[in-house]
Amino acid sequence: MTSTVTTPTVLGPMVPVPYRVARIHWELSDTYTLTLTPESGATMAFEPGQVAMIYILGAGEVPISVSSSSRRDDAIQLTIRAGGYVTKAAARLTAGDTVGIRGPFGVPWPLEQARGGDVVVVAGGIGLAPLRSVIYEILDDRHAFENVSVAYGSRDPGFLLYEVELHEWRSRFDLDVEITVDRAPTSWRGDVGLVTDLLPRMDFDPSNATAMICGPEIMMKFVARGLADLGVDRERIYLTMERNMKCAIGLCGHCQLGPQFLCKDGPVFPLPVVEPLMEIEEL
Amino acid sequence: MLPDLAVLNKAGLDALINTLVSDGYTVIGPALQDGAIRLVDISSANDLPRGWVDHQEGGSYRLEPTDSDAYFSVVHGPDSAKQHLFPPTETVFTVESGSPDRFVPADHSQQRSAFIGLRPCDVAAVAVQDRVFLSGPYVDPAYAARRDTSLVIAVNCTRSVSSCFCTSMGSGPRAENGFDLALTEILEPTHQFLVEVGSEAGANLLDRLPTTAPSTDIEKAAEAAVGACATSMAKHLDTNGIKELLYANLDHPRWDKVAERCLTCGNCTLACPTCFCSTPVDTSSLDGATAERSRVWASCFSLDYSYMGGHPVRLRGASRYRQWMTHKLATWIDQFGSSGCVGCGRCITWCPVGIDLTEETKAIQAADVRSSA
Amino acid sequence: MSNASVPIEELATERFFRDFDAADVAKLAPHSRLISYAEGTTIFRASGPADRFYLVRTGRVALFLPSLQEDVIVQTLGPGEALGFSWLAPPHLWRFSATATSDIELIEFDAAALRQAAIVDRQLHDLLMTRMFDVVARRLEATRMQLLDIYADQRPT
Repeated sequence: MTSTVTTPTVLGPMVPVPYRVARIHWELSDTYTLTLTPESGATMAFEPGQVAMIYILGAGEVPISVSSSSRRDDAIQLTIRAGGYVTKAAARLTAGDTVGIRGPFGVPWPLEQARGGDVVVVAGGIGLAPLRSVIYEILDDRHAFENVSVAYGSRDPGFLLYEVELHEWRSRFDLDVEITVDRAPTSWRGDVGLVTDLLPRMDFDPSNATAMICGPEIMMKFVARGLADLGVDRERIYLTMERNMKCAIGLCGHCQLGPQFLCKDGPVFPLPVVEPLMEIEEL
Repeated sequence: MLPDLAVLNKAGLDALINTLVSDGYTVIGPALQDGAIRLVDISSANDLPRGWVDHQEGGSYRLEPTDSDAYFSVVHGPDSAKQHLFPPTETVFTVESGSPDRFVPADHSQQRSAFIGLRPCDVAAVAVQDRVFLSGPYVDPAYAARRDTSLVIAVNCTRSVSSCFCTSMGSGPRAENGFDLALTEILEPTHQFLVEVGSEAGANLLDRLPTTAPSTDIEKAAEAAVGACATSMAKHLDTNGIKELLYANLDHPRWDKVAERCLTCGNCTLACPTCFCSTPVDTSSLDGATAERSRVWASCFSLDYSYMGGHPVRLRGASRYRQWMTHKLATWIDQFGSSGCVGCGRCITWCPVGIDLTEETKAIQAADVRSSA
Repeated sequence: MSNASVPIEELATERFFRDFDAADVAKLAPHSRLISYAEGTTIFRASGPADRFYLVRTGRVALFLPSLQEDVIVQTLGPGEALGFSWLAPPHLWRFSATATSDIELIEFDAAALRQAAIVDRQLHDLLMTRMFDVVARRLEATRMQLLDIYADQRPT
């Protein structure tokens, strides 16, 4: 390799490597997807659920779950909601700009364990982003799984993330996709109500199903409870927690939740590990 | 052939420091500075706080001159080795803006440090931070570089202050390991130091110093002095089942009680020799041509620390105190296999309102929700 | 559309009746029948007489509150879910309107007959009330969660 840019192994996990913005695509009025290609060398290898730290020159750095297919080797995609200072700065990026990427970090979704059984994917709001790479992965290797159900809850029909993919997935015969929103005009043909209410209608065998949940904490709590009530083994219900990850390598302390460092012990956890922690206020 | 014992006299102490200096070490030891005993660069035994003693208790630190000849009669000040091995602020990388931007990691090849006069609790604290920064899965390169080249010359305690409770944490008053050399200062009948070798590097260093063989008397005197220090320690923390205790009492009313006094100033986290939290700070030059990431000590007592998605997770002071104390005494055990507390008592001394974590623990032990259920 | 009542074994498989034994289901079966509606059919209207109770077998039903502005769907119901609780207590008037948003199959009960059956049979009364309370409580919980607007923007930074 003749490149002058040092590879990640040389720089260490604390130093970003440059990626170039190939495209910025607005998913919703406040949510966009960056397609990023490495300036040199290979695209980082990750597993669905793992987190990348994206650095915007001078503005700062934020953790974002990779939302593209892990089998894609030309680019990674990060879906970001423009909420804070850094994510608003990143929203102003245009094709050709450089960002810094560190990662991937953290424990991925339990796809290996899910093989051979049913899979229930439950997403809320922007929580569909970290689960999109799970769905891609499953579809790439569809025969390895039994029934696969996706339940997606969002605010209203105008707030559906990845509408193109949702259409495509809904048209498949080997994927059960149900969508519900909190409120809708009567023109909406989908469901209105809690994502929890979709669960009993979905076709999965609780005795061999693995569930993966991502969304607001309160939604995950209700969904996990609903799945457990339907007989899904609590050890096979996984959810992804959020805290303010800074260093992403377990050294800065910020992302602690009880004894867990979300960056290295999570962000994906089996329910029994985080359920008692979610019950404690301001932990 | 470890451990080896030898005796250094007063001139030997100076020789030790001189040898370290001529070996290229930055020698860091206790010295009177800013009205306290700080751990700073020293160049001879004359820089040591000879004759001074400290009086510490909740919210109070006083130094007093005495006519004693002792070099190491001050227990400690607000600094610990952390100040140097994990400095309050340091550069992580710099960025040169361009096409593409170039990320340049900070250079960690720095001067070697020799710590002299680290107390056993502080030697234990270095071991605690070693587990945090070096035990993986990720290693902190800056800390690793400094640790790899550092030398630790501990001084066993022959005196305690009222905030000390190292005997409860198993970290003192005698250093058991984690040092290259450990000294015990003996004043009578002759002012000298019993030296224990803790490593190959320590042995090699000692070989080059004017030592004599220890007599049974001096060994006994050292043992008695350290033993008397242990006996003098008035403060205790019952660590038996403390992890389970605190895990079971996260909703205990005592957290609200302590929050009525706690100023959430974060002094305890700054003075604590094991607290390791930091925040990355990103800045850029005015023209945007260069940028820098530094990391700065952080405190779980600040609102900013848990700021996420537009609001702090730990809004109440009670939640923040609980985070600190349960981390130090309980979750640390799950995370790193040992307590995060070494019993140095700095958090008690340097707390402006004198909050005492041993008292807070006792209060929870006395009203454990598990026993009232 | 048939006027024959739904067989007891078939009714017993409904999620709503999971805590009922066969004898209790048998008491309600005579008041049931299977009906189907085409997509777009109005099942009942707000303020109309609440003289029916339904269990959704297939398809989807939307509950909405008619308003002068755009009608808003407050909840949709799918297979296995109970439709309607206004029949339980006076004034026996529907609180919401219900429309089939797909072709649907429902099990319909005569509400007056259910109430009568519950008056004469204390145990049946308790069973029914417990199940209906669960339906109402879940509806309330869902409404509260929807009010929280959990998927909305983050709080202002």
